[in-house]
Amino acid sequence: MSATKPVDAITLELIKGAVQSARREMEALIDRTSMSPFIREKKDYFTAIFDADGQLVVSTALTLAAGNLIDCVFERYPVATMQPGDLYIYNDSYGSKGAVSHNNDMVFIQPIYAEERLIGFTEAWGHLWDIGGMVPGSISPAATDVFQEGIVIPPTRVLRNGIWNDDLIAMFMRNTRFPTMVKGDFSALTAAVQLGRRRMEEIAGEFGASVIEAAFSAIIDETERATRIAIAENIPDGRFSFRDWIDGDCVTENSYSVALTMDKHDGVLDFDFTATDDQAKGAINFIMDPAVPKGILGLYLTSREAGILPNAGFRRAMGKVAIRPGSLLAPREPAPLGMRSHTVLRVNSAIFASLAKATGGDAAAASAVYVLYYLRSLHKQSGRLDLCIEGLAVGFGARPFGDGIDAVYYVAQKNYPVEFAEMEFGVQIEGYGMHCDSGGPGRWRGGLGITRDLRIIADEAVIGIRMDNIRYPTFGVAGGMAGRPGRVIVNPGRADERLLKPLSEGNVLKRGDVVRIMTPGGGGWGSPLERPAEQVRDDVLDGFISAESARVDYGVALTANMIDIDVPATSALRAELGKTKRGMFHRHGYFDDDELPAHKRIG
Amino acid sequence: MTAGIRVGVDIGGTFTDVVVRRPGCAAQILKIPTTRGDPSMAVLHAVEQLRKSWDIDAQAINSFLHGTTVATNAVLERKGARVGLLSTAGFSDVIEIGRQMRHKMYDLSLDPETPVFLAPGRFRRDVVERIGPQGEVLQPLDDASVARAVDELAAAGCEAIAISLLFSFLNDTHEKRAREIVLSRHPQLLVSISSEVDPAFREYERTVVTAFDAYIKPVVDTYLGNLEAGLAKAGVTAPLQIMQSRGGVAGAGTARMRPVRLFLSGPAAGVIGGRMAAENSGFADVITVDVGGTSSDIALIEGGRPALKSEGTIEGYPVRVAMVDVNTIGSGGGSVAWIDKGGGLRVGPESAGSEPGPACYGRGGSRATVTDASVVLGYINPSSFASGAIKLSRDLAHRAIEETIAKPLGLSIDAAALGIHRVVNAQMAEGIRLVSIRQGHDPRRFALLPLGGAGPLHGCPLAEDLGITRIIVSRHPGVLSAAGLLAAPIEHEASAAFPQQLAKANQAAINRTLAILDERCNGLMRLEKALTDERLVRHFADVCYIGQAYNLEVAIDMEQAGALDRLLTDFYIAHDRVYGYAPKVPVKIVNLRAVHSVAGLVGLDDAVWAPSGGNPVKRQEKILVAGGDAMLATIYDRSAMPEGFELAGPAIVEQADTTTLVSPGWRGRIDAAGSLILEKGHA
Repeated sequence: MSATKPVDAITLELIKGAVQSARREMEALIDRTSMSPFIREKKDYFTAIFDADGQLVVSTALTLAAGNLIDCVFERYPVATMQPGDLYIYNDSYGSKGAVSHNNDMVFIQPIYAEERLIGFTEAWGHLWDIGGMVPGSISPAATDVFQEGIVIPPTRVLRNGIWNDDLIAMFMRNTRFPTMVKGDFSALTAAVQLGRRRMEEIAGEFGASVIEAAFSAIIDETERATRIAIAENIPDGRFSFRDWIDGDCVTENSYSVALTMDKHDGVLDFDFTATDDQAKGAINFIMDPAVPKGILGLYLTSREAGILPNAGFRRAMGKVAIRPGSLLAPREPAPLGMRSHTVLRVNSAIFASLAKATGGDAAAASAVYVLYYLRSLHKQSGRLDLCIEGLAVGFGARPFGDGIDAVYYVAQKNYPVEFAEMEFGVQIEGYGMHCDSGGPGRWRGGLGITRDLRIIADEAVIGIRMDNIRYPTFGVAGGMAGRPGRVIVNPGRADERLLKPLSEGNVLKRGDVVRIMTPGGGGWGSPLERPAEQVRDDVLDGFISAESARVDYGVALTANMIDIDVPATSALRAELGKTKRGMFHRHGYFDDDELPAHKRIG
Repeated sequence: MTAGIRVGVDIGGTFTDVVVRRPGCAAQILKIPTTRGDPSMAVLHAVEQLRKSWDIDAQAINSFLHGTTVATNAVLERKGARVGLLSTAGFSDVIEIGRQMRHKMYDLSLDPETPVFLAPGRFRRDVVERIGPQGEVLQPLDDASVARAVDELAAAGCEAIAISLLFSFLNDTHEKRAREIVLSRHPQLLVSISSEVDPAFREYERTVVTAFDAYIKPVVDTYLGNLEAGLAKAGVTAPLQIMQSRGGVAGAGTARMRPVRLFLSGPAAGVIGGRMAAENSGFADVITVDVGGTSSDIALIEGGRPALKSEGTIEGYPVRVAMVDVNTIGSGGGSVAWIDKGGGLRVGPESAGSEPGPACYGRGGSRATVTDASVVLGYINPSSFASGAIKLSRDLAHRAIEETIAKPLGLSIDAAALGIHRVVNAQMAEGIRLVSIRQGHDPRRFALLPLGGAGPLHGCPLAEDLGITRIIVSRHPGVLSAAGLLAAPIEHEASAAFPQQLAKANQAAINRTLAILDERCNGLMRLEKALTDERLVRHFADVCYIGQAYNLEVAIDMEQAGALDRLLTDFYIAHDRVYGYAPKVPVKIVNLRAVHSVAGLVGLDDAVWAPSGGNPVKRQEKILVAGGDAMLATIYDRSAMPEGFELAGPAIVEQADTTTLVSPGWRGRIDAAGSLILEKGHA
């Protein structure tokens, strides 16, 4: 709360609009000129503008990236050594203390100068398709060491006075299996930070450097103020704990937990993650920047406020974040990181569950982590290797005011059109639909996952799969029930039908095999008996739930025509089901634990 | 183009504008109230009025042109048909899943980002068939599965059927056969097939646009049918022609067949009107800003051609048909000013609409709007607003701004009103950047053409923000949309997927495809009874880098030697302009397109500008402009300004359909076309 020179409300609004527009222009450029399917179709990238101290001012609304992306550059390149036109890159998760949390995300940064002084930075990162490492695509569920996950570039200056560090770039490009694609994305991301920097210079030219500086600090102050108000209004004093679970890490049989105690006292909100399990051998470790949990909660609490931008104000509005070195959230190098999103989602759900406890259930139910598969197909005759990495949608948790979102990829990334995948990836897709009954039953139903059927048309293929939320499905809240897990079946309905482990690598397939991937749904919110029978009936007609689930979970019976509600039978069913006592949370039965429970692993 | 009487009718939220042009006469303008329940009534009233006011006989009308919002409204109000959707077996949920995208993670909105309302699960059916990625038939169409599906959907009350099968853009035989089966069993159903609506790659986008086409088809069909019948009854023998989203008109019969091309029918008319007005004054490169009550439509015209985009949206849903690249922003004269939690002054997107309207309307509105700020700043004369149709209250405008903005922010009323204008102007300027800078165009190269009743109030501040130095205020900016209808060409377009690397492309195959597309356009033109010898035929290719996701449309002329080399060069030039770089690496053709047009009128007014003969100078009054201090401005009467008349800012120019603000430092002159040309700096 320390704007040196206040900016009037009108100028502030004008600058805010201009800065957001500069950031959106960066995004639009990446969107339209990148080359790899990850960025082009899946939108796995992030753009932001920081102030001269490296504090986030505006960004893509993505909580994962709320961290300090500039600090690690300052460590190697103090401000005094920077010059206009410099461009810095890195993909060093450990070296950046989790500013990026797996090494496929390559960061691009340019300083912004106005009136001969540094006023901020433009930044963009994108998930590069392949940076070397043990498998095409670089991320493998089988990894046990971060150095298996590709080449690491520490914060490095690659452009000065218009001269590129071509040697470094050539060395990097020599380490990717898909240099054309990666070069294309490299150009797009580079062009984006340069475009944003030029736009910011124009804006500074119009308003003056000191007005921009004051506006940056006012924009951050605004977020801080709004977040403090939201915390005061929504969260009572007290300690609220929850422990959530990740099924496994692929390379051991263990499950892992993220444990949180949220402590609100004297207007301060602290996070204590120290009871989280030790770091994993497999790649689910997540180097958590302390800004991340604050970003998750801040984004949720201020989502109802127009004009509040996700930025460093979140960090300032909340207190301490305790993380234990050597734990899943502060792993020691060289623990692998490729699948850190499994843990990120549980950090999310632990925060929402703690919030549910604090508010008597006024928080979203748990969401599933997105599913990925890595299909490597070999066409023997041509020797061509096709790599298809596809992110599949899952169900989101139901909200206190509405159903969970169906079929969404957590970080808002697009799927591949079927027609695209078939033309590019040497695979045939035989079905793509909603995963019926996967959403957790509730007054508000959890979102549904999807099913996707792939037929192998190459001579040989190997598939790696990442799917979580099976041992520990997404929990329901306030009487809502848990989401239903997913599964992966080879040759469903055929004599050689078999299940694949949901988190596994190296599964060998042959031509003609069909792999059916069914993804998990989100948890429900509120008692399913309170969902109006007509809504349940419509869900049956539209294929979201089966008639069986309508009866067993929701207590709604349909008549023989499967269109009308059988009113007497429904009353009887609902009366019977109403005898069950429902608790705050549901997963493998209802529970309301008040204290942080000890480890109770399943499996 | 046939001479004779041309009538353009543009239906707005409050008023229906009618523009009539007779050879050798100045355009005549009529404003009649819009009939909300059945907008076609207003059109018929217009015919009646033509007879009464100007003694124009219905039979003497040679062309009758109409811009309609009926397609858009059917979607916004969810009043489209019950649609049944037929998909390739296993893919009926494509419209539900969409691109698995969510733009806001914690959005409070409960609506999905996919337009599931078009065809919820109970109205979707699988049909057994499969076409592969080379257009090859992997599994033939099972006729019985289509029959079964459509019988069920018809029984469930579907009025229209959308058919979208995988890879139909490469092979349309299954979709066409499925349509035959549907129509043979249920001839009353209206059918849209994706290989005709949008024969291009990406099944979700193609399915959505096809479902939209089916959704609005019965509504548009009924509306245009009623209108045609009504016109016939009124004695109008001229064919009814409808503005399409691309900015060309088509016969009502064609519009009814492909209604999804009508979503921008209204705004496109404004763009074409702007193009015509600019051309009359000798400008080929202009940016048009159509300021309405709740929103503003911004578009760019380069070299006399409106910029097009190959995919638009309605309510955020993708609509993949080519349309005039109109950027609609939620800022207009009725936009409400408010203060957000962070203490920032914001304007819109909420609007006071026409009821209660801005506070100064005195209809119970208490929140400050842009129009209230315009009154406080002295730009709008409360007693002569809209020719005195609505008496505005200066006091109510002052009070609203004082109570809701000035006091909470600790500002004077004047400063608050200026602030509202600055914020809304910044939003409009941002909207202009989107269609100019972000598409690689430098706005300073363009003239600004404000239209709509409130447009010319914002011209000078917008131009200053963007470094634009010339503004065209046409004779009647308030009814330029209706006038645009008269200027639009008749246009038909047909496209086909043509996935092929440019380096390996076969000229003969390209020519064959273009010939098929030309024949399709010929068929549509024949329906228009358009004179073929005046026709302009253009061909285009959608081109992208191999591996890239977005196409650029590039003109192609196969009759020139080295046509494909030229195509490649032109693509690099376009890519460099739009995206700032253009590596010389291989590219591919995605689609081919033929566009046939018969030019519309060049000018609305070949009659010389005839001033009223009164004194152009009305009086002097104090106004406030950006920068702060009150200034004495001359108030002019536009209708009395003769050709060559000059003025200098600060000034206000009043006329029946709009008010123009001339900022200090700007000079204006009436040109031979009767337009007021404002220039920054020098005379």
